[in-house]
Amino acid sequence: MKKLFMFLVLGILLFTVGCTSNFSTTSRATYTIPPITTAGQTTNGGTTSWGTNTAPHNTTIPTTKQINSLDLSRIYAEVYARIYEELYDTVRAEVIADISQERFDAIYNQVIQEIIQKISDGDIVVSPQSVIERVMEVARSNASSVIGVSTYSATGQLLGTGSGVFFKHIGDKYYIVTNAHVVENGTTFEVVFEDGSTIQAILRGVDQLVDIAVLYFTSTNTYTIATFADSNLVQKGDIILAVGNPSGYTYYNSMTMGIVSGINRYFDTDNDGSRDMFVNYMQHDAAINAGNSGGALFNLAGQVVGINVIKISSVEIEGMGFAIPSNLAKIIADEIIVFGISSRMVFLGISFLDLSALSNEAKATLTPPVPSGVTNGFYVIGVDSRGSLFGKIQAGDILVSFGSIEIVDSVQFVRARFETYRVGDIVSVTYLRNGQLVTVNDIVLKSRN
Amino acid sequence: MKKIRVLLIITFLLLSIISFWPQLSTQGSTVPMTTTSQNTTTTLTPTTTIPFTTTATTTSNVIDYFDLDDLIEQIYQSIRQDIYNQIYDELLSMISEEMYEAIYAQVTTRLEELIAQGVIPVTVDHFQDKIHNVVSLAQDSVFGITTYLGTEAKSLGSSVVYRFNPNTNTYFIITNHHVIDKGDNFKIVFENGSSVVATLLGVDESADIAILSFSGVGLSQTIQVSQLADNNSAAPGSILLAVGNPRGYNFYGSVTLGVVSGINRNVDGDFYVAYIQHDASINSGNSGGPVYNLDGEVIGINVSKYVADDIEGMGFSIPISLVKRIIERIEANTMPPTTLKSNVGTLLSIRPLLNNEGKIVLNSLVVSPSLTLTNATISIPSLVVDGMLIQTISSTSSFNSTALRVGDLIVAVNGQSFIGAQGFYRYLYDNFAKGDSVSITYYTFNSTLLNYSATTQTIQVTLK
Repeated sequence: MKKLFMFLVLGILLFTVGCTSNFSTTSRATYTIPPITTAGQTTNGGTTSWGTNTAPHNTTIPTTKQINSLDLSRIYAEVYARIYEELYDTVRAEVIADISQERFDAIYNQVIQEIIQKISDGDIVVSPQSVIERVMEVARSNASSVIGVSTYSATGQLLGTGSGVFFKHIGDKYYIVTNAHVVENGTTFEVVFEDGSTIQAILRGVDQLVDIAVLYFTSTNTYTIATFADSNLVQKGDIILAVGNPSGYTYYNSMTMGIVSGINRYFDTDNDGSRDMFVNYMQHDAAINAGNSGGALFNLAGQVVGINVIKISSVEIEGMGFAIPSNLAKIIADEIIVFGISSRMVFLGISFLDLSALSNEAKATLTPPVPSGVTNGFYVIGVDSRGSLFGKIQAGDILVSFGSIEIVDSVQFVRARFETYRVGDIVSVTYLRNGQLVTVNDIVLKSRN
Repeated sequence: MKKIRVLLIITFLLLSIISFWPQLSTQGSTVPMTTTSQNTTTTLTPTTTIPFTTTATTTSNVIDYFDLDDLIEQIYQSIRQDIYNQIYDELLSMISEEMYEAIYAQVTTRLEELIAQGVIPVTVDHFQDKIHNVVSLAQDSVFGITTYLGTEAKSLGSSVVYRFNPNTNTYFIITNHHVIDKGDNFKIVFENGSSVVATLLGVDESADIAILSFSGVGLSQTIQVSQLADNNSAAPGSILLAVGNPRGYNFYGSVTLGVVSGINRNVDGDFYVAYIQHDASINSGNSGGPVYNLDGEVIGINVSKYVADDIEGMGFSIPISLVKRIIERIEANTMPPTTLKSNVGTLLSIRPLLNNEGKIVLNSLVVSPSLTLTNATISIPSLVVDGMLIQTISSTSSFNSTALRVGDLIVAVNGQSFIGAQGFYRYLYDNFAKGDSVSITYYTFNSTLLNYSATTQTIQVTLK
């Protein structure tokens, strides 16, 4: 395009000014620029001449030279911008070279010395936030990302209320995470705010096994979205704050405090006598009650470390509440947002002993025995006929790797499994049988249902 | 740079075109190729100069040039320098910001280092750290204990390691008596499920304490000894952490947080144990487990809680002072068979019953098999406001077969007077055990006149 234009321009110029644009004269001609004026003109003063060798032009430039100043300044701006862009990198390199490491060090040293001096003089007081202050801060800044969720039947009857957490803001849609059991049997749903105002929300999808549901609504308002922490970093003893609506909206956004009592807790969710390892629950002692379901468990930094889901409820039991860890909640919720369902809960269908946690005396009682030197892996006790490994693995086998996961212990495995695999994936599995390592390929991962 | 020249050439060409453009458009034809009439030449008025759109100081728009190339070169140089300067300034301010941020980051890191090293003194809230330290200790010090009758598991609870004997490679643990009383053999159970046989060393049934030991030989579990706190270090409001296995080993090593809600609580009415009341969540399975203060010292052993629909957060621990006394006796082999608690029969504190006239009214008092006083108004010796009136003396009572009789008013133990029942029992139980000899100072009761002797008597009693 440029070339064509150039030719056009050149062509026109050549035509207009003739063949003798001969500037190669010895004398200098003074012109006001732009435009180029040709011979015969007077300039700002004094006559000019081309010099004797300049051949007169054969064309006269038409009279009034109305310069379209608007266009010209636009051209200048464009040219300027292009030059700027081209010079930028060059100049940048030159500028950086000018700022030497020495100068940097000099400034740094000066600053640090001054600060240390001011601290020791007492001009600057260093006092980090105390736990008390941080708890207040969570209440002030982060608790507002927890709202109420009301579930209605097809006939408009209120079925129940619970809590939810602002999870994502995509476009003009706000996504709320709550528990699946909060929205169970519901046809319509409302998000409820502190002032009692409500917004109709649509159910995007649920995962029954993990007990996560995602709702959304459209709004141009600004709401605080919760930040989800890495729940793998949570330790026993961490102070946590539960926020939700225990016993309904009269107690909207209640905050209770406690500590993480234990991590990687498993329950027998299907009452078959053995613990199920779908969700690695976080146990805590912050007081929670019905209505806290779907609400947040915050750490002192105001990040969500879990979604409260259950508590052991009985006259004799207190202070045993459980949350779905934030990493799992996030993975499931993200999938529900995109697909409407989550397919992360693959069902292996094996009951096993974790060799890494097994004492030598316990190992000694197993038949077939565990080969000596084998410290990691899952010693299979039984295989469920509905499971993905049925027909491939049998009792007595030691599962050592599953897909890309080298089995270290059950905690590592549970996390890696839900982070890596989906129902429908095809994996290879390696196990020890009779002292031999066997790999089975093409295992299709099934779900529990 | 060549590019720029080309651009400039184009610019000039463009400018030339533009200068013709109005004519082109209005006339609707191309620029005449041939000359126009010579007669219509007019003086071309110089146009006003159009300045560069730059903030650079180009004062003069007049350039002396040799030829087009030279002109272009000069224009180029002029523009370039302006733009260069502008970019340089902009970048300098931007990079200054980058440099600033880099310096800031380095300064912050250095400050954090200095703070961590203590060079800059900072009062840091160590609360969360302290909790984690206690949790780390508890992980290696609080274990499960399962009681078997033969091979049948009967009950389980929690226990804490309080001592290690390196000479015998033996560990000593504390748990509750009620955790072990249903069986005859016991195992300490570790988090990985491994276990070791434990030997019962002694119990105090009234306190609900049991002491056991186990061998450290060949254990895969790391064991840490927990320090027992000083007596009376648990004050109301002290923060504590309870550790145990509520609801069993599926919740092994659960840690809960609370405060001391009260001390010297008389929970079962017999004053023997001055319970520590707290609100850290505990459940069955926590029995025998410790409550730690934030320094990782054991201040009590969890034993019970109130259970009711309308009650929560009322848990009770045996204070470590009593536990230490029991341990001392067990280790010295001077522990009485079942408990340190002495039996003094039933006593009644007169303090809350005394009326303005220095009398008390008793509903009934069985003075002897043949004499029961009912609605008796008894005159208390003048100037006496505190005393324990003996209500019953059973065959197992320490006062059995002594000169003491029902109705007698005890006013001092080992010469020590006391305030209220609490004062009496605390002094008695905290300082004396079964087998100890104490002096009892008392007024003799006159069951006919319903008054007391004029003076006190003192006798020596061996506590049973």
